[in-house]
Amino acid sequence: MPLKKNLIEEGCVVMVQKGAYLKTCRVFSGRSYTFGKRGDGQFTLNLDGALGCPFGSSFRMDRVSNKMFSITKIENPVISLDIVTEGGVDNRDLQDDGRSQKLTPDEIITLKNKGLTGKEVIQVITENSSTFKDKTVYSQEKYVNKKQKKYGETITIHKPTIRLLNDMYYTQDPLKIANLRIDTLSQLLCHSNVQAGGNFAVFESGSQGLVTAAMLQRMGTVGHLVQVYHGAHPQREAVDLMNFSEEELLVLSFINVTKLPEATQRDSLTTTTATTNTNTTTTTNSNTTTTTTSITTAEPMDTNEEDETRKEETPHSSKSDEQKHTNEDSEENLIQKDNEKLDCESQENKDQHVNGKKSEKQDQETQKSGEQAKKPSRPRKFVRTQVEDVSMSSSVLEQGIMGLVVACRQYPNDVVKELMPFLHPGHSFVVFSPYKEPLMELYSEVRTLGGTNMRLSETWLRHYQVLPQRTHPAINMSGGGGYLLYGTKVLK
Amino acid sequence: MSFSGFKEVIEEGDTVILYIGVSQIYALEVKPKVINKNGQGVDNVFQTKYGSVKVMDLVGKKYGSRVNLSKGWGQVLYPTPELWTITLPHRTQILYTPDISMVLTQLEIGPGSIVCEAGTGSGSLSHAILRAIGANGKLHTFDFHKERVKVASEEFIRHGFGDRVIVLHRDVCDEGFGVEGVADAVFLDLPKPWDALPHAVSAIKTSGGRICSFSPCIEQVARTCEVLQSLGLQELLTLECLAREFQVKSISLPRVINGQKAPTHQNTHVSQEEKQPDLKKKKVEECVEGAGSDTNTKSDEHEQIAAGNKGQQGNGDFRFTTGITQLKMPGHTGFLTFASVPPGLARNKLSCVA
Ligand SMILES: C[S@@+](CC[C@H](N)C(=O)[O-])C[C@H]1O[C@@H](n2cnc3c(N)ncnc32)[C@H](O)[C@@H]1O
Repeated sequence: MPLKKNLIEEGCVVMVQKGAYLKTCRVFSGRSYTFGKRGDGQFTLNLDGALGCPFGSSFRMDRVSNKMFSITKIENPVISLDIVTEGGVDNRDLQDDGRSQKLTPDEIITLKNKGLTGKEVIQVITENSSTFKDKTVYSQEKYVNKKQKKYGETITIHKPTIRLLNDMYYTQDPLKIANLRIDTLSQLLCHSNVQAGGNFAVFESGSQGLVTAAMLQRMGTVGHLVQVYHGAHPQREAVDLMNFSEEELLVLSFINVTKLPEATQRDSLTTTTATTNTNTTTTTNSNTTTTTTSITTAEPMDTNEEDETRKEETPHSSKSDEQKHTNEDSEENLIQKDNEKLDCESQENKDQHVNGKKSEKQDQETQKSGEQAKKPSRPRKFVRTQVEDVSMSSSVLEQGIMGLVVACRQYPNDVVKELMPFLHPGHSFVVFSPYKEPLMELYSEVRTLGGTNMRLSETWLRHYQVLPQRTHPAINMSGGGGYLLYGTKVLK
Repeated sequence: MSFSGFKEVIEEGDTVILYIGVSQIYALEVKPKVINKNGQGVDNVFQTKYGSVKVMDLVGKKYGSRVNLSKGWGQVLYPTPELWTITLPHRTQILYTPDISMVLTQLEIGPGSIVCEAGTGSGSLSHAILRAIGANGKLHTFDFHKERVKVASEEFIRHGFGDRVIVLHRDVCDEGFGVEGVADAVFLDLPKPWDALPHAVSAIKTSGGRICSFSPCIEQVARTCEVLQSLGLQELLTLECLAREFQVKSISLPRVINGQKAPTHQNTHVSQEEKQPDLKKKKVEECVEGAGSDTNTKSDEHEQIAAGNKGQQGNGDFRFTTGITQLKMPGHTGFLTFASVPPGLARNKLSCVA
């Protein structure tokens, strides 16, 4: 059973939430972390007060110095919308001359620095707003919410989960994860049939490893997930943010798309089965049945078997520790590259979408330096050497997979063609793309690879504000969350 | 047995999915006899538009293989909760995959999770939860309708989920979930979810957890949110999701040149259709049959438009491939409301809040 860590501990990744702002960081005692955009909204936290507290706790920010805060756990957090006084009837007399707030920004900052609590500051601000009492309750609330976001002083520290990571990336910049919205990601997971105790493969790029992390989360400690990647390094940022245990990480292995096991071999296997139909294929059949015995049972014993296979694959296990080290070192470099690449990726995105949002690299630096300084206590990122990863992945692929996921920023169709031969007949594939066109093309192409029961879909997602007498759909919404093509492979 | 693990060859006792076309998908139980309307055991023969199949003949075949019917063929697919959702016998309204998938992610369900659900209904959501919690998880599912409890319970066992589920006959609004401080997540699909919410909170672990309520009407949502807030729950979120499906088609449009119709005949040519063998008639049948069936029915109205325009496709036509939206699709299922139970939430005064 997977370890369920419910307490915030030294060295684990947490998600700090302040209002709508959400950000991950790895907690180490004595360190401070800077959040938010440079300027007014930026704040620096020492998170020592969170150590030992359960995930999901809320904390009060106590000012230590100018922008520096320590945190103290709040026992009974209240959602404080009670600042709102009764509203004006309507706003016909409202004049927006930009001068309705009597306090200057400087005066407000002075208030804050005098040590007033966030709530007190907001109270003063609303009192000094000549228009506040003329606003309707609805707009008063909006006003307070806005101010609360700016001056509110409580944070909540969450356990990183797929829901929150998706939320974080999506609020930072949806293009960071190829606009893979939570509803689309959720459907992708369901349609892939990913679960504990099977072999699965994913090709992912441009979404921070979120798809891989989400699949891994659904698998626990049983089964195998192969990430096929393109380029210099695997996609795993989100995987590293999920606090996966080593046992859970063992489920995941990586293989470069250029190192895939002989496709011809696989092809011939599928074609023989396909052309001769069900009853024949004696050789391949016996081959596959022996290998699948290890995966038909979703029981804990599977781990033992897995250990055995691993030993078989790497007879020189004494050497592997050394290898792991070199691997890790090179990994550090890769992360650096990864970050650089990330930056230029978001640059790229900006170029693509001229009117898109600003990329958010501001906190990245603080976090990077924090991580480097405390490198020793970081959990091991890679549980296998690259060589072990490749041989593990190859053997999983050769056994065949029960679900295939392709979610990438590149043209997905070639990748699908490359990987479909590894999918067991009768089982599902899912392809995500931010664009509909390649998937429409794939819709007909994949038929020749044995695809059936295919659907091309997108989802509409709408959020609601639910308040007494003021319930309505959210003012802003995402215009689209990407497209999915999913179906089942059959014998031809 | 086939839902809970993986295998290559069909065995007796499996539930398999017979796929004939997008609107003809059926779940078959591989067993020698079925009970007919008159309560008699008869041979398990499944009738389709393309002829019948003796279900026991599937034993020994590989999943993914083709099944010959007297007037066509189908394919046997491995059963998944998603395919089950579109093939299951309806005993109630059910949840569909767009909502179900959102529930799983938002409730953060994974292997080892302990989940409470009410009501069980037709077990559509339950199957997806049971897959997600894995062999070490536990689903406590409740319904106050005795027959549904019995049927669902038998179904879960047949599908290999017997070890990870407890199905109980119980009114959760009156009696609660019978468990305290054990659940990671609670899901409610009830007409009056607010009555069950205090119990739902007590069922959640003291270290916290997630709650979801599904309701078709906005008034239900309003009341649910009020109660959630008064109970001290956090991160309230209400949303709605709808899937839109596209039919991939090649279209060619006649051009209008010099203000006149081009000399070619007007025609919308449709290609890339599901090519079922033998029967040309089939497509038409599907249209007819599709009219009243599940949400995944691909509307074939476009084809009818095309059929109305007899004639050759012109060479000068503008041709393109596109994803055609359904002319009619489900516009609303329900609102999903999510909330977090924070760690250490006071629960003693829960009952008086409601
Ligand atoms: C719409 S159905 C649930 C469908 C289910 N979510 C699915 O996907 O199949 C609602 C069920 O809740 C049950 N129900 C209603 N009120 C209940 C209560 N107070 N306690 C237990 N079950 C209840 C009904 O008997 C019905 O079967």
